[in-house]
Amino acid sequence: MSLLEVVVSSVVLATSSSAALGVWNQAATEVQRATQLDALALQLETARISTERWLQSDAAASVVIDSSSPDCRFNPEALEAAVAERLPLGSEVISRWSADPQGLGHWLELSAPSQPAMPPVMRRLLFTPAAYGLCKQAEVRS
Amino acid sequence: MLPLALTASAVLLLGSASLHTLSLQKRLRVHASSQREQGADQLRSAAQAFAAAARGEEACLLKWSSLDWPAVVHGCSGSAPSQLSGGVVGEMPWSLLDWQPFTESGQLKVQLADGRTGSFRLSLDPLAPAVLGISEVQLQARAPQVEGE
Repeated sequence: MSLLEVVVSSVVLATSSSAALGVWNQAATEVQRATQLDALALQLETARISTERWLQSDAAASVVIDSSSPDCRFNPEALEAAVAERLPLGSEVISRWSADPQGLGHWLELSAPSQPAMPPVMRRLLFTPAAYGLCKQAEVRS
Repeated sequence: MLPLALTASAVLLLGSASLHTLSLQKRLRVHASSQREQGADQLRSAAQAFAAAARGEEACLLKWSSLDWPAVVHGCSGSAPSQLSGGVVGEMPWSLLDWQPFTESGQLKVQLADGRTGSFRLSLDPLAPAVLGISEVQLQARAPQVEGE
C-alpha cells in the first residue's frame, strides 16, 4: 500500500462522505417540512369537518340563520364564533368567513401562517344554509 | 485500500441518493394530497351551490331524475332546470352530470370545468322536496374536459 493510494483513498472517502452528509441534511429538512405541511393540512381538515358537523347539528339550527334577513342567510357572527370555538387549543389555523358575491352562502377560508420555504397551506369552501336544511327550519320557526 | 474506499463511497452516495428520493416522494405525496383536497373543496362548493339553487320553484325538480327535467318542467311550474344544471362557484364553473332521486335521498354527480368529477348523496326531506344534508364527496377519475363548457 503506497502513500499515494492512502492519500487518494482518503480524498475519495472524505469527498463522498461530505457529499452524502449534505444530501442527508437536505433530505432531513425536506422530510421535516413535509411532516409540518401534513400536520397543518390535518388541522385544516379537522377544522373543516368540525364546522360541517356543527352546521348539521341542532345546536347550529337555532343560531346560525340571520332571522332579520328574508332570504335565508347565515348570521356571520354565529359562523365566526362557531369556527373559533371549534379550533383546537394552540391551533395555528386562521379562519375567515366572507359572503359569496352571488349571495349563495358564505365562504370559509382556512389557512396556516406562512413559514419560510414552505408553500402556503389553505382551504376554501362554500357553505350554504340550504345544504343543511336550515332554510326549511327557519321558515317553520318564523 | 483504494477498492475499499471506492466501495464505501459508492455505498454512501447510493444510500444518500435513496434517502433523497424518499424525501422527494414524501414531498410529492403531500403536494398531491393538497391538490386533491383543493379539488374536493371545489366539488363540495359546487354541491352546496346546487343545494342553494334547489329551493323555491326549483325544489320541485328534486323529485325527478335530471334526465326527465325537460319533460316534467311543465309539472313544476315556474321552475328553471338551467338553475340546477350548472353555475360558477368561486370563479370555477361547474355543471351537473346527473341527479337521481330515491325515497329519502338522491345521488348528485357534478363536474368542474377542469374535468374533476365528484358524487354526493343528498338527504332529502320525505315530506317536501328539500335538501337536508350532503354526504362527503366521492372523488371520481378526471373526465376529459368537454369543449365549450
